[in-house]
Amino acid sequence: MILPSQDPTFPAIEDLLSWTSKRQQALGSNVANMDTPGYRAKDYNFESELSNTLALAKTSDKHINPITDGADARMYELETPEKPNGNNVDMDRELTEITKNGVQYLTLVQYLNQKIRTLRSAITDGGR
Amino acid sequence: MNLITAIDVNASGLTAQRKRVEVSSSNLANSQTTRTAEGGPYRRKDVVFTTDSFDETLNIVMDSGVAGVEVSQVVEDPRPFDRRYEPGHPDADAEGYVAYPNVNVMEEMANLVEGSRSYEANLAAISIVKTMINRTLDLGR
Amino acid sequence: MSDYKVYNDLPRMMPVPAAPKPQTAGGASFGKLLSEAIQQVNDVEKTSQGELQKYLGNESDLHSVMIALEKADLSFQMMMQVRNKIVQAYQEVMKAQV
Repeated sequence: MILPSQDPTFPAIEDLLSWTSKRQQALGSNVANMDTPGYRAKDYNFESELSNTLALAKTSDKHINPITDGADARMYELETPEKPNGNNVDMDRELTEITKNGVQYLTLVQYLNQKIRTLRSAITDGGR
Repeated sequence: MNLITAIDVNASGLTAQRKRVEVSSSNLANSQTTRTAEGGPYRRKDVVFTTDSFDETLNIVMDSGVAGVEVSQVVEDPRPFDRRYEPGHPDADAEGYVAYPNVNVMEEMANLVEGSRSYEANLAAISIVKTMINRTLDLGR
Repeated sequence: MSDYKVYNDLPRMMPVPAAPKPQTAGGASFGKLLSEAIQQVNDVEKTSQGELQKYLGNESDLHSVMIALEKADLSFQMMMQVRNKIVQAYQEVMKAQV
């Protein structure tokens, strides 16, 4: 029997949520600096964490990469074309990515909600 | 705290763009001002955006991927004034020319539109983060 | 940060029959299950307190705090259910003996 506190899905999803909110900071920074001369747009790439975590949700022994593991190594500069003032922020791209990132975050929260409700339901009503 | 920091970042964007729009409005309002308090016509002003990587609320330098923005200075546009031949004008010089502000109305209008577009973009980002925070607070309910 | 001392006292407060202990199909005793559940509640409660402190000190994420709180709540509920089942089983045993 897995007690709720030992369920490996929780830390896995938690980790993804951390990455998603960290990425939100970078995307927001790009929007804030869309007119700043010389500013280079940045983003995070956590595709590997994403697939790692989804696989992890099924096994319980593997090591989970904490968010501090080379967080900056996942950050990269965008190759979008540069404006005359040295700024390479593409506003449309940033807003689209922010929306998609938001949806990803909300989906994860939704998944957690379902899980928690199911667990709660099993605990309180399962005894009948 | 990542999400709250994200809001701070875009909030700084709101402030910076608002200042830009204010300065632009001031330019437009004074596009015909031939005599200022300091003497001489109004000289167009511009804002300088710089990246701000210091988080005032937390009093720490932010992570490398995170950067707010601020208007570091308001500078004067060095382009020459617009000289027009109006000998009857009270501010005309010895040759009958009046120096008008170096404000280009079309350019200024475009600047206003861009500034408000950037403002809206920052607002949209904040709105999405607000939703993310609210749903997180409702976790499990 | 307070330990849930009162819940640690629960097994002592509940009169456990000297005769057969109720057994699950897997062979684990309810008593053991209950102490596991209580221990879990303790641990998870400490974690959520810790997360809250970290969040107030600006070192943790909001979602981590919320998840920790929910886990604490679930663990607590589970412990209460296990306790209820034990009390129920005990009462049935007492009825049967009379």
